[in-house]
Amino acid sequence: MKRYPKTLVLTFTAVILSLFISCTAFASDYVEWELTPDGQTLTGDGVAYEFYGSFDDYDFGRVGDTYVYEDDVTFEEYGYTVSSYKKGGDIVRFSIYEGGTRVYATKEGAKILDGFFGGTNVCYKLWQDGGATKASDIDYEVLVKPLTDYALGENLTSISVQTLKNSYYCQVITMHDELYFLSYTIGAFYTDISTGEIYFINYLSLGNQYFDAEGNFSYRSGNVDMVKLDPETEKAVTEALQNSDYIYNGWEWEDSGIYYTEEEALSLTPVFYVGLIILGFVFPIPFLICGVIFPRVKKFGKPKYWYIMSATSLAWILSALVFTIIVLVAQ
Amino acid sequence: MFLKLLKYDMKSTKRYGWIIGVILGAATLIASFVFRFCFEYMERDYDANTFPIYTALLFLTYFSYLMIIGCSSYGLIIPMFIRFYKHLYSDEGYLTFTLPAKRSTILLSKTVNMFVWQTLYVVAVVICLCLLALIVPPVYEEGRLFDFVVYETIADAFKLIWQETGAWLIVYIIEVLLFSAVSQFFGIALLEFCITTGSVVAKKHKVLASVGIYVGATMIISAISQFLSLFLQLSVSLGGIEILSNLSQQSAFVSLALIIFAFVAAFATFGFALYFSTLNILERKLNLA
Repeated sequence: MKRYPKTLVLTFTAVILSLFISCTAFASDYVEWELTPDGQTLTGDGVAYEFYGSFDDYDFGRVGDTYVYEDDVTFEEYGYTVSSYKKGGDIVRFSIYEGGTRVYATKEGAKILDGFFGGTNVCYKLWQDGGATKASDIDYEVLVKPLTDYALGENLTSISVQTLKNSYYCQVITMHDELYFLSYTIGAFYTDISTGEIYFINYLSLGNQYFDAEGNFSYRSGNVDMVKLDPETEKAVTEALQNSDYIYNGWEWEDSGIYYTEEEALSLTPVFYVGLIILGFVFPIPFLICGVIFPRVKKFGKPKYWYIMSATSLAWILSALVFTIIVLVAQ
Repeated sequence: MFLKLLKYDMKSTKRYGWIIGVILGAATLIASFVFRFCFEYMERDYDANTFPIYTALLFLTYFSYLMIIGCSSYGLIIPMFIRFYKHLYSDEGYLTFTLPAKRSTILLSKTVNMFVWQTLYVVAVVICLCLLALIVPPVYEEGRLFDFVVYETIADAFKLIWQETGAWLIVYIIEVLLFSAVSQFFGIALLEFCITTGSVVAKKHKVLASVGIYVGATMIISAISQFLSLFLQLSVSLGGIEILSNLSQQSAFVSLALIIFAFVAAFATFGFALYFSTLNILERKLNLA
């Protein structure tokens, strides 16, 4: 039987042991939600949220600190399963598998939502090219004239949705609360590609046939009315478009794997350093040694060959060393 | 002498390069127009009866194209390695080694030749993908042939990363290019090493021995790399995130650059180890008699 060096056996055992520990030692630590029997008060993360309402027609914004919890939770006594929970600061939304949503809010969150639904604190955003990653804030004053024209039926032009799709750039307008948690698409500006003229279409005035299942404008068929912007509004819209900026529109997900508390994570830092030492220092050392020794042994060829290998392995070790120093200094 | 050998090698293998290039280009053009046609149909003239036919055509084209891309790389590599084996380890080797060139020069010219063609192949694939991105997106404006939406999206993504990282983006791009070059070198060196070892170890069935050694080596490397990647992931998740989150933004950028560089150096080290081992066998152990 072959004899293996003790260090190799020990390293291997340590690695296997650490893998075993990592897979079994720590239980998950998800937020546990509790709902009162009347379904009115939700508690989780040590915070109480009151039921605010159901807003199935509203989108839930992808801006800022929208947080998505990982686990599905079944509230058997209420007869529904929650697919995800999203929290924008003081507001929690449950999306229910069986259909519908329920929004819960703290007192602060309720104030924000009151401002939104009461019309006293509504923000508007203009999205580049139909709602990608670039957007800018836009004042309600810019929207007043086209909305009024629309309501009065003035200056309206009818256009087929196919023409809109093929010959116009679309910039969607959304209204939302201060946290950009609840949002609603109210309309869009359409820029004629050939002339550069900008038109407004009020989505709120259109029937369901113009939207797909997800509530997006569908461009399937039919005609819609649009109003040409007056020069002042057009200028304001153009400026807003120029001010568009990239915005973070991702969701922050609750850890999907094993979740550690800060103390647990800190107690495991040696494992990280063991990994760093093995990959950054132990692995390249044989190559470095061989690169230095082989040139002195006749049967291994000419020195310059092997020195190149020792130089690259040295670069490997040095980069690992600098990285280790940076990490240690940062602690 | 190296340049003469390289020129001769390049000349002898360029026909494979041309054939693969023409196949790739033609396949890309055909696939692009089929994709475009299907997408335009699906967007504009939807008909429930013919929809499955177009969907099937789309998938058929997609898989055929993927297959052509995948097979074309082997179509380039295999003839080159057969040539490598024949020139050095078959009866032709007697002639090759009578050339007034050192064995190291012969090996270097063959390696550089393969590296150049593989790099050209990667460039060709990138050009094909750019063509695909140009032709495939349907255009709804009259008078316009192409929609640059893919390019615009990529440019936007780069702008976004640039806003976050600044000039570090250039460093990362250079490092990634370097990494792709050294990993290619590693692949070539591994194959050369396996062919050489197989040819030296086996008295008969040298090709079979070479293939066997290559399969074995690939399996061992794959197992080790999987184990290491698992270990790396666990090292990072077990306390690593906590440690790395303490880094300032600038330190994080430097750290990322160092990590990529460590990978470049590691692959270069493995590549050189295999390459010099091949050279050592070629110079000291090879006996064609």
